[in-house]
Amino acid sequence: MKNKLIYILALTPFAIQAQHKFAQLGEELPTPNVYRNAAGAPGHSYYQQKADYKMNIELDDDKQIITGEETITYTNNSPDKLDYLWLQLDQNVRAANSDSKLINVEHMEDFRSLGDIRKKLFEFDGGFKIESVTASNGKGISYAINKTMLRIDLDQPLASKQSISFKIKWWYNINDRMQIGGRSGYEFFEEEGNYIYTIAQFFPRMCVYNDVEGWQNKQFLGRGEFTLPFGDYEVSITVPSDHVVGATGELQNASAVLSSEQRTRLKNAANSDKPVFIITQQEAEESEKNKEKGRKTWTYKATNVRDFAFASSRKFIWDAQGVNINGKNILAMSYYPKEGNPLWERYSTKLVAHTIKTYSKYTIDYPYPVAISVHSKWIGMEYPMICFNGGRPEADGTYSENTKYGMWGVIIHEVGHNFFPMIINSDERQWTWMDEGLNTFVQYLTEQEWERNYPSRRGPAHMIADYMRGDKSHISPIMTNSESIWQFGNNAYGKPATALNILRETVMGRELFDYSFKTYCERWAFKHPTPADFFRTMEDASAVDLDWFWRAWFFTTDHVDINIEKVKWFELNTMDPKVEFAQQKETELEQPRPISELRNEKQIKQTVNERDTDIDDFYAKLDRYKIDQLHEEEYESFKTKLSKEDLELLNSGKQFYEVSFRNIGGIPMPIILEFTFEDGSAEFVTIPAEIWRRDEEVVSRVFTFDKIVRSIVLDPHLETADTDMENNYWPERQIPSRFELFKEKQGHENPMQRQKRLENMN
Amino acid sequence: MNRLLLLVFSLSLNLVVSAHEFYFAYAEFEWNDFSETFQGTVIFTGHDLESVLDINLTSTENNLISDEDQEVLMQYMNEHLTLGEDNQLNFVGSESKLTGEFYLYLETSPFKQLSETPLLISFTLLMDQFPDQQNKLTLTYHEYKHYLVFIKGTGSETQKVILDKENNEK
Repeated sequence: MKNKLIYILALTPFAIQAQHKFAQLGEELPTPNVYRNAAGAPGHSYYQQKADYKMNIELDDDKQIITGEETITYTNNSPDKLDYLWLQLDQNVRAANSDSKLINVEHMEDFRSLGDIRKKLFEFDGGFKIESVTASNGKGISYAINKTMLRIDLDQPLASKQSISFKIKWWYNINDRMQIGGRSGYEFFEEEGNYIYTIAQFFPRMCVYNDVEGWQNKQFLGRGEFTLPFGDYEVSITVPSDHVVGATGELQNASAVLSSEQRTRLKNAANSDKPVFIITQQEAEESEKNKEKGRKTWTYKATNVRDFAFASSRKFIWDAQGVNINGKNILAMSYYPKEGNPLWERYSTKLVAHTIKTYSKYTIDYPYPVAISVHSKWIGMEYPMICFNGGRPEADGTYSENTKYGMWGVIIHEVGHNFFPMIINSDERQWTWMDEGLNTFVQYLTEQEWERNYPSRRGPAHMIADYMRGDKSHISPIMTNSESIWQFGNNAYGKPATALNILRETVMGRELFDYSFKTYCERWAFKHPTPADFFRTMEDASAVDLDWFWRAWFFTTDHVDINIEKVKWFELNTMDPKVEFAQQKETELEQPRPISELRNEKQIKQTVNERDTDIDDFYAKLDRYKIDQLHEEEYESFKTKLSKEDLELLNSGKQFYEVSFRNIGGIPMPIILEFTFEDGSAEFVTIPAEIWRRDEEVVSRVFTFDKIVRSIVLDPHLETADTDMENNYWPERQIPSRFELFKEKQGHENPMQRQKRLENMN
Repeated sequence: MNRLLLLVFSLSLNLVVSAHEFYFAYAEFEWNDFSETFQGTVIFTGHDLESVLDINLTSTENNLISDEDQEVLMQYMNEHLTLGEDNQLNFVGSESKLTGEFYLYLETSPFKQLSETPLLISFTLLMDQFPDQQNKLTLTYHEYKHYLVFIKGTGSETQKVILDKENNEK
């Protein structure tokens, strides 16, 4: 129902509310300082420590044991003197007395089967056995082990800008990844007696010491991953002589471990833009059968990395191709057994190449010489330059589309981790979202450039709605420590990736977002960023105040649900009696008529005044819509008081719509509207989220059009993760449920019945 | 002391070694006045339940699961999703999505009378296998919407809902 707008000015009283949602982030973020400035960049006194490793590693293929010896050179770039050093013993999460075995809440109903009880009683000691810690002169160093942490007590404090070298010897039992899980371990192929080893967290690693945490020595409980300083690595890995070893870094002794044919193939691969086999499937299958007894040592070097991992097996097929990243040639490579084919030979290396190219565009140029994907059934796990990825076809070589997309997604994701956190080196043990969330976001961009309309599971706003709506008792804000998060995947991967996508598509726009995001990556490449550095850089580089967005999306569990509360329709009163009277008459005729009046029209043949002409007086005969001379003169007089522009405006036929919106979910978001007009055309309007800055619950806007609006849709392109779309329509619209959509699609016949009918036809 | 009666065979001995980090199932059910049933959709990660039940959900031809697998699936669903104490869930259809999600369309048997007695609801899908599994269910009964969260070990595995009371969000 439209209203005539007569009054030019109306005063609406409003209540002044306390500002919450748009309050600037104050105490939530640490105070900027000389190490991390208020712009979100490294401060003028920013420092970070360096840890260099020289290691000799032995892989025992008979007993599945890793034995190692390392010399660590640790450089204290901090302004502080250090009385002791902390190292991480992550393998101790598999030690017999590990806390991680004790901290899962259990109930007796968890043990309903013999299998459950076998699982509980299963014992495996995969913890580090530290044999010695010595100074470079061979003298023993005092040390203490606190579960997954090892403290080295220094005779003399390590002064600022000083280095110290020391040696550690150790061994541990490698876990059977297929039986007890894990980010690293081995897979045993029983029929042929061969193993694939994907080995990581295999050596005592230096903890990070920085301006934020001091020593980051929070115990490893299994979920919050790793926090590591950068350094240079030289690692010699001794394995059975028919094993192929892929590792972080560049191979230093190719002539000792590869045949001349293999070296030629590797050289050719570096210059090829398609994968070239260094070891073919046929050659790998030959190795599987022969099982040589000798040993070979593969030596790798890696510069400026935060970690080191490797994979070893005689089962490996190996292919590689060159990737040009702004003039630098990178070697993209894959190692996989025949069980990975036909998927792996077709896609893995191409996915690696595509991933480092796309990430380089959005973040920084890929800085390392190689990028490797290793086949590893089920898991996805990342390390510098190398990652272990699932995606295994059926034994008969067939695979489902799900398996294919699963493999594509995991390779893109894990290769993408080279950027977050391997290069942009955030604290994973504290903040999972800083690497998983940012990585999942760029993964989404990369997937969409791999295949048009790629079925990404995370990124598009609407896909997070099921998680965010409803009861909040068991979901956590994104800004929650890794170990304490409810709903880890949605919280640390899905929601932050969605939030960034919303920033890019809706709040900031692609240009501003991409510039700011790249600025963050450039500022913090090969450094240790914190959440505040990210939040501040995104604002600093874009001139967009995003405090409200960080507050709502990262510090609360609020959800998005904005409705169209009310729509009022107005048009200007022209004061022209010809126009106004006609419209008043039309409006009167459109009014519903009472039932008695309708029935009387037929049943009462003639009323008294219809029979007796003396009954009707002046009022009865008055045509209220007839325009007389007085009306015309009054209108002419009115017009003389208006300017030409005012008169044009008055007669413009403009339509006014006052639309009110209520923020039900709590997160203030831009209001995106699609107005569809009577002639079928449409117009889109986006109102920035700042409309909520004072009135946090209900706001209204007046929209002016030349045409009559037939319908209004709020968030027509599913940009805001609105959890209830039913209240986003004017006039109201019923949204079919997933169930109803499925039923409509299926008709009265279920798919099986239809399939049977099809089969009967043939 | 209580005597523990064990199942000799469990559904699966697989441990948590999946590549993904979802462990999230979502269900939405809505009351239908005509059929006097709840109709809805359960969404979960397809290969999780495949590995638990040793059935094929995601590699099927034309998105059709076999009769045998459907039977195993529905037996499991009826043990792990309850809408009303004595009510059975019936298979309506299913779709495996390329995102890895599996959509299972279900309908309860007709409720003879939905009195003011609270409706017993439990949703423990995949909780035995995945300690981090969290399930959510949105139940719509006329204008009333109930949002329920189910997490193992929190006492929330089974909940009671009075359908036409605003004990949740309306």
